[in-house]
Amino acid sequence: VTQITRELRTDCVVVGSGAGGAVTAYYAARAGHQVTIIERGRWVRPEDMPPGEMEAFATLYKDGAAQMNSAVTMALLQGSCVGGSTVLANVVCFRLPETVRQAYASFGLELPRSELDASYERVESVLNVHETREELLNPVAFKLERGMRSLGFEPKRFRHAVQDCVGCGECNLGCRYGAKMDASRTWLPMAVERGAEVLTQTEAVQLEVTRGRVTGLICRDLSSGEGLRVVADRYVLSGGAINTPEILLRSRILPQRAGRRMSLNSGAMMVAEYPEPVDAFDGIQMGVYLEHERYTIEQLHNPYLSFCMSQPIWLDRLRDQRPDHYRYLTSCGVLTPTESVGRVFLHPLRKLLPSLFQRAEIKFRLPDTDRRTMVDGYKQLARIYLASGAKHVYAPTHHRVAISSPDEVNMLDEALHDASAIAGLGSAHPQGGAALGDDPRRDVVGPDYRVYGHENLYVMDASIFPTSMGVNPMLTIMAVADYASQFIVGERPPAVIEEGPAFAARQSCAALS
Amino acid sequence: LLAIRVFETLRIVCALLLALLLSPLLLLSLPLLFLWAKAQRRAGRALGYAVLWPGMRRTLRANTEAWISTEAPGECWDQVYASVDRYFELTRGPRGWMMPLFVHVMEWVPLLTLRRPLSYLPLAERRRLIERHYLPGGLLGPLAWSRQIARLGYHSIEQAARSSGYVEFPLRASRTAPRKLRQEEGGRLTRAEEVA
Repeated sequence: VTQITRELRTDCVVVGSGAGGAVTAYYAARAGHQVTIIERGRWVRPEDMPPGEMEAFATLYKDGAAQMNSAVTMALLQGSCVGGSTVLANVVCFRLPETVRQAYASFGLELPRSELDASYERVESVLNVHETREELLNPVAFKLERGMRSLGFEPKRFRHAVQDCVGCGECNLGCRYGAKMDASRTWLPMAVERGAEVLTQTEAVQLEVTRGRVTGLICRDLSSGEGLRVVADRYVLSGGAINTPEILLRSRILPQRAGRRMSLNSGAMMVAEYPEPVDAFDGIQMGVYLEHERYTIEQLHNPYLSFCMSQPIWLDRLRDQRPDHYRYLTSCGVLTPTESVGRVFLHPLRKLLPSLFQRAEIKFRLPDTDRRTMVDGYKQLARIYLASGAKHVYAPTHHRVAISSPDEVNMLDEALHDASAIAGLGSAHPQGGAALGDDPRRDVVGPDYRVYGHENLYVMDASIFPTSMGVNPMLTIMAVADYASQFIVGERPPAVIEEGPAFAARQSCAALS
Repeated sequence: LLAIRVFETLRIVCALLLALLLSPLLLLSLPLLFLWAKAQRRAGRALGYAVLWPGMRRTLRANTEAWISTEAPGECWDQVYASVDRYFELTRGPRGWMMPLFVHVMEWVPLLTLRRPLSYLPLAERRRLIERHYLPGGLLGPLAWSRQIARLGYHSIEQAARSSGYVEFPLRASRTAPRKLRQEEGGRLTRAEEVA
């Protein structure tokens, strides 16, 4: 930003409108503050959702769904629209595992059980979280359930944050039926109704700091290119685990710690082929899952283009043998929490070549311990697939590896011997990078959600988590934001949110008119 | 395998030395390159593309054939080019401009291995190039992303999706369009209503 042409005065500015930002903005507006939300993307109403997958990638995802780590070996998917990644998520809802909650407490991120549960209750009531109706499941979900049971496991069905879901199976492209209870359909309209404003297509660039106090936020209006300064009493960074550290680093705030200790829920899709057409696309993408101490096996069948883009390329070539192969295939993932070894950093050449290195770089290489965990998960998944009647299981490898019987499952040890051997590795759940904890020399954010040494700068998004939580994080980010509002906004959340599901229902109907 | 790796590495070293020797000539030809790029851009616009240049179509086709299939979507190549063009056009953010540049890199990077540009290589040679060089962790590893461009163009055309057996939601026999959508009167049409 070379020239500031406008200045805006507000009480509280929230950077990012995803799971953390939307809830924080709502509570700030509820407390009577004048709230301004800064969001890089557009506000896309259900009826304006892009018509196809390719258009959805280009317009709703950050960098056209092409955000990668520096080595270009892992895709890191994030939303870039009002509502952030919640708009593109499958909105499956997990509560924080107790072991992870205790681990967080050991770092200094205290989330008292009773208070966190109350936050979950409130958030779940707003999002209308419930177990998915059976008729919405895709046909493979029932096969997988049978497969899991035959091996002695107890499958579970996901809880989704939806209302009147039609089971189109295209959650990752934004919900054009207005059924998904993402942040843009719940918390944000609720905040707007209480006076908050959302500046869309506006990118937060840098914070101005004077003697431990933030005095302004420099933004860029992406539609006009003009600079904008937002002056507020309190600043909340909620841009996610990559953008929040990026802003901190650009603002030279705690540069030795910001961006470090990033972790992921990582995985790659493993595809199975059934002897008969299964039409896995006919129903919701995520139906059933299996919990394990170290990983979660999740059914996730992507829409056509996304499926093709996430499968190994050699599998794509099988199309030559049977053009309608997609009807016979399905996919699942092994969601593996990684160690906090990632790093978000600014490229040293960014000043010399600003247009080339404008965005932060992401350094992440899957640690070998996590790879081994992942491989264990794939072996288990292969057994489940075969028990469910699959003819072949295709390993997520760069060269063809097909498993046709349980005896061959151990082939995966050799096939996935190294992280670079895993094809299609990626994550849609980056966490950490501005970890919250009680050690000012180690952590970025203090137990009061304030950035160390900065009295009016707060962080509330996935970047505060000291380790990966290992389950889909949307619900927990919202619940922690609910709990944290007492520190950030200064008021405890009410026992019940009046707007609740009734508000979401009204929104749902309004979206269709 | 080791012999192949050594051989391919030697090819890259030789190509780099050659490029170093020819660099003064390349510098001198920069103004000509600039004029050529301008003409290509104008020609692309005349063909109705927002971002693509006419020459990039050859690269996209060569790349798609190498990664995915020789069973081209018949006469649908124009749709493949249009899809990629649309994706490039719509992609926002500071990295948006890098994508068309990446297509140029795809075309010329085989020179680094002492091969012809991508669109002038026979199919077998293109596949060999991919298998030997576009591997994670390798010098040309980041070029493996070219497979995503291939799939993005190839699979986003309607014919490819339909022939694979995929049926869009409103057309599926097992499910009906949501009741609310059908009952709704007036307002904007959704896809479900259009189909109904």
